[in-house]
Amino acid sequence: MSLTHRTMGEVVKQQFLFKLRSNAAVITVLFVMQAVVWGLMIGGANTGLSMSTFELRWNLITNDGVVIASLLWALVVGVILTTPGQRNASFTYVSSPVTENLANFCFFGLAAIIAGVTTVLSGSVMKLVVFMKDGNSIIETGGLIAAPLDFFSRIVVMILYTLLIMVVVYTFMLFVQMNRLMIVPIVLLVLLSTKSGVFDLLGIEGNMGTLFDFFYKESSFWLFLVKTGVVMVIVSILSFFPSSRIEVKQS
Amino acid sequence: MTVISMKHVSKNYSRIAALTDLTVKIEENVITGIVGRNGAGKTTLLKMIAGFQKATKGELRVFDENPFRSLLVSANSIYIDDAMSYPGSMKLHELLDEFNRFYANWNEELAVRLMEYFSIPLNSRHRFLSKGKRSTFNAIVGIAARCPLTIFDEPTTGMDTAARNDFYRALLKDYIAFPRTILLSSHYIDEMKDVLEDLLVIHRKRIRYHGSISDLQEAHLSLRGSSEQLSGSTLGKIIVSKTTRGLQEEWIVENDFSDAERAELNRQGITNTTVSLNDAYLALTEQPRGGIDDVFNA
Repeated sequence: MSLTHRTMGEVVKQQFLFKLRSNAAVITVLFVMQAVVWGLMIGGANTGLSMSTFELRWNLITNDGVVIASLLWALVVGVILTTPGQRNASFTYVSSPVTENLANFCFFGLAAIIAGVTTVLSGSVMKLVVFMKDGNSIIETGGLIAAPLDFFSRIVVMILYTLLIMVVVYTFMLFVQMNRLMIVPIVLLVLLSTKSGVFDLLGIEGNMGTLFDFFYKESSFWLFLVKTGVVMVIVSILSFFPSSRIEVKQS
Repeated sequence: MTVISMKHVSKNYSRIAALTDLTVKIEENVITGIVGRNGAGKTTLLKMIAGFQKATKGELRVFDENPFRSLLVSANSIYIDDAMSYPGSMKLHELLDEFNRFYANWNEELAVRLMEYFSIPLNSRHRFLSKGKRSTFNAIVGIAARCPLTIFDEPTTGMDTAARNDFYRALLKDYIAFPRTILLSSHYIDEMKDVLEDLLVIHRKRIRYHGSISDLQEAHLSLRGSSEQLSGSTLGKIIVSKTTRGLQEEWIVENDFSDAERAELNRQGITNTTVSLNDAYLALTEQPRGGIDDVFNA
C-alpha cells in the first residue's frame, strides 16, 4: 500500500472545517449570550437629577454589556480549544501539533470576526430600537451612514480585542497544560503589568503602566492595529512551544 | 520494507518506567499481535508508534520518520482504542464523513455496509451507543480507513462473542484484499490467533518475544505422564509450568529436545506435543498454569 503525502495546508483546512462543524454550538452560545445581554441592556438605567425649579430624568442605554459578554465568550473559547477532549478529537483524524495549532487560530479568526461584527451590529440595532421608541435621544457614536469609517473601525477593533483574548488565553492554557507550575510566572507577569497588581498590594508606585492601558488608551487606530498585531504574532509563535510538547491521549 | 523500527527505545512517565530498552523491527503488510499482562506497556508502545506520545530515550522510526509530530505518520496511520474521542455534537454518519475527508484510502461504502450489518444506526451519536456497539463502530472505522499502518488497541472490549468473531473475520478479509501493516493488541490471544502472523510479547516493560506464532509454539513442549516419569525425563531442562490433570501431570518445558530425546519420550509413553499459542504466551509471561490451584491446595 503506497503512502499518502498530505500538505500542511490541506490538513489545516480540513481540521479548520472539522472544528467549525464540531464546534457549531460554540458560535450559537455567543448569539444566545449576546441576545440575553442585549435584552437586559435595552431597558436602560433610569437616572434622574432634581433641582428646586426643574427635574431632569434620562435613560442610559449602552451596548457595553454585549461587548463584555462577547469578550467573556472569547475567553471561554480560548480555554475550550485547549481541552484534552478537543485535542484528542483532532488527533482521531489526521493531525500534527502544528496543523492543530494553525487550525485553532483559523477558528479563532472566524469566531472573532463573527463576534466583532455581531457585537457592533447589536449596538446599531439598539440605536434603532431606541430611536423608534423615543426619538428624543442623544447618540454617542455615529452609525454606518453618518460615519462609515468610524463604524468599520469599531468592528475591526472589536474583532482584534476578541482575537487577542482568545489567542492569549489559549497560549496561557497550553503553557499550563505543559507544566502546571507555569501558572506562577504567567500570573506574576500579568499582575506586575497592572496598576492594581503587585505594586499596589505592596504599596509601591508601579511605573510599567497597565497592560490594559497599553491597548485601551491607544487613541490612534493604526497604532492600536500595530500593537495588537505584534502582540498576537508574538503570543501565537510562543504557543507552538507548548503545543508541540503536549502528548495526546494520555489517559 | 520496514514500517516500524525501534532501537533501545524507553518511555518514562515522570520517573516511572513504562517501557525499557525496546529494539524491534516490524515489516510491511504483517499482522502482529501485541500481547502482555495488564500494565506491561502495550498501550504506551502503540501510542508512541501512532505519534501520540514521545519516546523518552532511543530511536523510534515509523515510515522512516520520528512519529511524534509527524504529519506523514498521522496521514498514514489510524489508532483505534476503546476511548476514541469524537465531538459529542456529531452523528455517526457525520463522523464517517469526516474520516472520508481525512483518509485517502477510506472506503465509505464498506463502512456503511458494516454499520448496517452490525445494526448501528447512522443517525445515532457515539455516546448513546452501548459499550459493545461503540467498540464495533471504532473497529469499523479502523477497517474502512485502510491505512498503511492500522493500530487496534483492545478493539473488542465490550463486544459479544459473535461481534468479536465477525470483527476478526472482516479484518482478515479486508486485509487479504488490501494488505497493510496491522498491530492488534488484545488480552484474548486465542480469539485473534487465526488472524495473526507474528506476535510481540511485552513482559515487565520489555520485549520478551517477537517472531512468528509457529516458532513461539515450537519453542515449548507439553509433556504428559506421571510425576516420576516426567521428573526423570526432564533433568537439565527448564520447566515453565506444572499442572495436575486427573491422574496425570502436564508439564510445559522449553523445547531444546533433540530428535533422540523426543524418541525416548515416546518410548517411555510420555505424550509430547507442541503447546497451544495461549500456553506458550502464558509460559513466556510467567503466568503459571493451574497456579491458582496451589493457592487452594496449600
